[in-house]
Amino acid sequence: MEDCLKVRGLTKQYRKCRALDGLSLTIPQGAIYGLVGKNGSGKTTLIRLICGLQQPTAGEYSLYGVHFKDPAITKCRRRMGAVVETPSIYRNMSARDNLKQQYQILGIPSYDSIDELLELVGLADTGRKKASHFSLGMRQRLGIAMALCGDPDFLVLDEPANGLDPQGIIEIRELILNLNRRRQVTVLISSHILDELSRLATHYGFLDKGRLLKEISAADLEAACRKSIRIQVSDLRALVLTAHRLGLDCQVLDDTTALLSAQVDVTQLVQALAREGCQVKSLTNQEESLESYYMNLVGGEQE
Amino acid sequence: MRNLICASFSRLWKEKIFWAALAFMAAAGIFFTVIQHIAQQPYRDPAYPITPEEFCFNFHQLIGVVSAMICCLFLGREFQDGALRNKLIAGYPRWKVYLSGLTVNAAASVLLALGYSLAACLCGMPVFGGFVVSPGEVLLLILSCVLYVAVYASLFTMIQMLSGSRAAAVALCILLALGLYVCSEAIFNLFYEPVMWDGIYNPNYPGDAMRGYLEVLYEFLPTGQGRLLTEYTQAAHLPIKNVPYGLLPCYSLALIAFTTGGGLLGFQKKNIS
Repeated sequence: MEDCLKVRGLTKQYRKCRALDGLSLTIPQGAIYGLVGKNGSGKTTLIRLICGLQQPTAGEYSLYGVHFKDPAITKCRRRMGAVVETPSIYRNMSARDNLKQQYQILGIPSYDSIDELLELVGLADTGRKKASHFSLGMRQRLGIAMALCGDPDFLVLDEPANGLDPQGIIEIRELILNLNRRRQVTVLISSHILDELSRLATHYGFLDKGRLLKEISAADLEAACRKSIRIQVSDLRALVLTAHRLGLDCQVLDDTTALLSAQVDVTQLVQALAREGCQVKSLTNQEESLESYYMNLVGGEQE
Repeated sequence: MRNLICASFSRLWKEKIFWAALAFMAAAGIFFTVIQHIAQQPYRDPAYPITPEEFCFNFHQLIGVVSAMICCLFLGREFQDGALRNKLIAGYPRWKVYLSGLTVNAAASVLLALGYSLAACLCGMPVFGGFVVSPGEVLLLILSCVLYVAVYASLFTMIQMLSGSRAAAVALCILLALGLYVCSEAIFNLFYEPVMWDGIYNPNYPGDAMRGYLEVLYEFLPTGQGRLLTEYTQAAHLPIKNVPYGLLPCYSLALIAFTTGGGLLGFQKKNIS
């Protein structure tokens, strides 16, 4: 299948600052691609470039196989919807009028689907209230609704969870998953909320200092994340000997607790410990999170 | 581009500031016509009565500042609210986005001028009578006015599109409109300077060559054109002889082409955030 977006050696220089430095990535069609990176890593710059808001200093990208300098890119962009940083909405207009504007811009003759769109993002009951009186979360939803006008095949969302309450975050997540699964919409999403991103993304791109550190699918990431069991016992010596006998890596944490890595047959382990007269006090599954994977990747430098 | 223009017009009709400006221009049209009737009519040479050509196109003192406000507030909203991005993300090339903005700004400015003219005509024509020049000349006057008003719109569109900041563009454009007005008034006053004053050479006289350049500059500036067009029927009283009224639309077109070309070049390279 044709890739939705292919970026090769993309560089963007702002005077003395190099925001993107030879970045390359590929977004397959139908993917939910999570862009992960700290502030200033180049996420928004990449989004601005692929949305055509700015021109790259060097490198290239193609959208659905169309090179960004090809005049046909303008038609390709019709298949795109985006929310870049703050939602692009007229604050002196109501949600409905904003959507009408976007429909006119896109040349959609009928406004019939506006109600459905407002319903979809939870703004159906805003009436004539102007966007300037909306909460941040409502503006974010309206921004997403604007991006969804014209049924895009490729949705670009820059920090979509900004300003949303927990319920709003869940609703937007459901909306994105729904669009991806039912309409096969490809989504590029940048977010600081890694836990939230891990519930959505099928592919990840880890950015740092304008470069792509790693590109990995969610399945590969899951496999790469070491799984372990945290076990608390009455006799640590018995645990270490048993783990050794069963071929498990054992990392002692304190006098009673240890981490057992690799796949553990819990029944076999508990029975073996019981035979040694060792009591299991607690047993918890421990998985490396997206956050810790990212921190390991960027060298543990916190924002 | 039709979609962009339609969308911008539908937004213009919803802009309260535009309707307020239109009402202000209409009120100004009535006010200045009445003032002209009260203040000038009793003292005018009966051979040169007040004509509709004078009060109908007498918006040149106001249109620059009002157009600066409307153009920048209307187009600046696209930058301030970030809505300009929607057009670019939707795949419209920048030149279409620019030209659609210019078209709507020019139309809005012309409508403001029209508001003044219609109000002035409705109020003044019953008193002063109809146009005294031929229909062809009235058409030339209307065309010239439309174009010099479009020059303002073109200039302000360029500034707004290149500056990106709504507040900065409004301030800059108002200052520019006032600056142009003051500048053209200063030039106009120079034309009244005689060569000799009581047998002594007048140091304020700009010189024949310089006076020629200043006349062309005055005819080029929209503020200068505004005054020349208002005084079309009183041309004999103007300090500039043989004003090339037929060329004024060409000057305006040249200015529109120059500012739009520069604006397009700059906007093409502009980083939109």
